[in-house]
Amino acid sequence: MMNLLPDLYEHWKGQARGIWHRRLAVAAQAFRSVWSNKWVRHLSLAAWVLCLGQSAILFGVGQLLVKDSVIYTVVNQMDAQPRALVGGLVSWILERPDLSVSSTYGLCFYYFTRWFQPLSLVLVTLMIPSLISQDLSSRAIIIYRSKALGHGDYLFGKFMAVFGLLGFVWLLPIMQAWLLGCLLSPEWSFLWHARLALFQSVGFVVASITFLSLLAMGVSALSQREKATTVIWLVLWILGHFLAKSQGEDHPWLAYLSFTHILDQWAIQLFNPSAHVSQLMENLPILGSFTSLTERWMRFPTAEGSAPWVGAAIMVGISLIILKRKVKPE
Amino acid sequence: MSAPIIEARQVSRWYGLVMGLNHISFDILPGITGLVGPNGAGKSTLIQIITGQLKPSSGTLTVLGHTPWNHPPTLARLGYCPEKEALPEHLRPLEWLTGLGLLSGLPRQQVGPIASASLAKVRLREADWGKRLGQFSKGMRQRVKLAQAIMHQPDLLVLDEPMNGLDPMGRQEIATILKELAAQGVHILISSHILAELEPLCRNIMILNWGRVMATGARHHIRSGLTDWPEQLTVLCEDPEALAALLFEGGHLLGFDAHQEEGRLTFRIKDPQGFFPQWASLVRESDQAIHEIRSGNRSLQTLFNKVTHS
Repeated sequence: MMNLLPDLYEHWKGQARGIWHRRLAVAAQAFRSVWSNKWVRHLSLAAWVLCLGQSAILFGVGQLLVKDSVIYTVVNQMDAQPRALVGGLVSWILERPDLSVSSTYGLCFYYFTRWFQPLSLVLVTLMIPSLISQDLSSRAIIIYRSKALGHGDYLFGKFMAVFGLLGFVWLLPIMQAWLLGCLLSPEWSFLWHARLALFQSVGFVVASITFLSLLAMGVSALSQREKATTVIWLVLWILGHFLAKSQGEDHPWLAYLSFTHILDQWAIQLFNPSAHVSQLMENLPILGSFTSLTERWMRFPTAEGSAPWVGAAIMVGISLIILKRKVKPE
Repeated sequence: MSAPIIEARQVSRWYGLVMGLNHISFDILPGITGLVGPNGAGKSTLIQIITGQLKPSSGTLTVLGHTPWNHPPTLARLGYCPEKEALPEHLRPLEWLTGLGLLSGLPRQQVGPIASASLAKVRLREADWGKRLGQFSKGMRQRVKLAQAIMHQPDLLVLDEPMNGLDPMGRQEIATILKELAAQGVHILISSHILAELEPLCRNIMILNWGRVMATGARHHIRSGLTDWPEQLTVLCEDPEALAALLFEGGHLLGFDAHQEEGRLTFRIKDPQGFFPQWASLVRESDQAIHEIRSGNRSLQTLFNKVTHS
C-alpha cells in the first residue's frame, strides 16, 4: 500500500505549554480578528492622538504654574482677570504645591478619562460581532470547546482580548498622558503631587473596561447573527442613555439601565470633582469672577451612593448568565 | 485483554423531558471502534460527553482513565472532528490550525511546521492553504476539520461522520490515514451512517438506538450473541444439492435452499461455533469446485438492521 503519510509528519513528543499560554492563544486569536477591522485600527490611532493632545494641555497647565514660563508671560499681557488667576495659581503652587497640583490634575483627569469613553464604546460596538457571535455562527465554538481548555478558559481568553484592546485605547493613553504631562511639567515634584489623579484614573478606567468587557461579551453571546449583536449593543447604549436622561429624575431606577449613566456615577464617586473645584475656589477667590466657568464646573451630577455599583453588578450577573447558557455546543 | 479506553457506567443525559441517553454502560477497547445508530439514537450526545462538551445528567464516563468534563489534561489527549460545519470562514487553514495548535499547548516555534504537516497529511493541496476557509468545498473543509483533530497527535481521535462530503478517492485516502494512525497506536472512535465505510475499518462496533446501547464489542462476538438469528451462508458451486446433502448428514443445517440450475446453495447453520472449524474439511469432502462463498447475515448493515430491528 502506498504510504500517504509524508515524511515530515512525525509524532510530537514535546512538553505542552501551560494553561496561561492557551488562554493567551484564545485572546490573541480574538484580538487578531478584531484588529483586522480597519476602523478599530483608526479609532486606536485616534485614542493615541487624543492622549498626545491631553499631554499638550497638561504641558500648558504646568506652564501656567511657573512664573518665568512663556505662557505665563503671554497671559500676563492679557486682561486683568486671567492675569489675576494665573498669579493666584503661581502663588498657590509656591505655598501648597501638593494641593494645587493634586486639584488641578484631579480635575483635568476627571475630564480626560471621560473623553476616551465614547471612543471606547464605539470600539466595543465594532468588536462585538467578532468576539463570540462569530464563533457561534461558524460553530467553531464546538472545536474550541474540545481543545485542552477548561470551560472558563475560552471566556477568560476572550475577556483578555476585549480588556486588552480597551486598555490599549483607554488605560494606556491616559497613563501616557499623565506621565508625559508630569515629565513636561516645570518640576519633578509634579510626579509625586499628581499621583492621586493617576490612581483615580487607573481605578476608574480599569473598573470601566472590566465592566464594559463583560457586558460586551454577554451581548456578543446573545445571538449567532453578528449584525443582531451590534444592534442589541447600540439599543442598550442609546436607549439606556435616553432613558437615564429623560426619565431618570421621575424613575431613578431607570437610570441604572444605562451603562453610560453607571460610568458617569463611578467617575463622580472616584474623582470627586466637586471637592477639587471647592479647593480651587477656596484658594483662588479670583475664580468667583469667572461666573460662567465656575457654574459649569460646579454642575456635576450628584453621587448616588452604592446604587450604580448594584446596577453594574446586576448587569454583569445577567451577562455571565448569558455566557454560561449560550457559549456551549448545540 | 487491554484496558478499555472509554468506560461508561449508567450514563444518562436528559434534554428537559427528552432523554438523549438512557442509563447506558459500556467499555470501548483500544483500536478503531465504529459508532453506529439511526438518527436520534444518541450518537452525537454520546460523542459530546466523550469529548467533554456535555456533562452526563447521571452516571460516570471516563476517557483514558479520567472524566473529560472540564478536565484539560484529558482533553489534551483527545482529537475531535465534529460532524457539523465548524470553521471560521474568514480565516485561512494554516492560520486557523496554528491558533488551534497553540490552544492545544504546542510551542509557538513548532506549531507552524506541525500545522503544515497536518494539512499535508490530510492531503489538502498546498495551493489551497492560502485561500479562506469560506471558499473551500465541503470535502476540503472536511479535511481541514480532520487536520485540526490530529495535529496535536491525540491518543484518542473522535470522528463524527468524517467521510461526509468526500469523493470516493478522498474517502479511501481518509480510511487509509485512519488505519495508519491506528497502527501508530492512536485509538479511534468513528461515527458514520455509511456502514459500508466502517466495515473495513472497524473490528469493534457499538450500536446505539433510542438512547440505549443495543450491542457493543467485536463484530463476530455480537454476531455470535444473536442466537435466535442463525448464521446463513450462500455458496456458488457445481452441485448444490450434493453439498446440501453432505451438510445435512453432518447435522449442520437448520434449513437450506438449493438452486441446482444456478449452482447456488443458501443454508442456515445450526451451530456456527462447531461448524466453521469443520467447514474447510467439509468442502474438501464434497469434492467439488466452490466458486464463491458469501455470508448472508454477517455484514455490518445486516447486523445493524437485525440489532435495531430496522
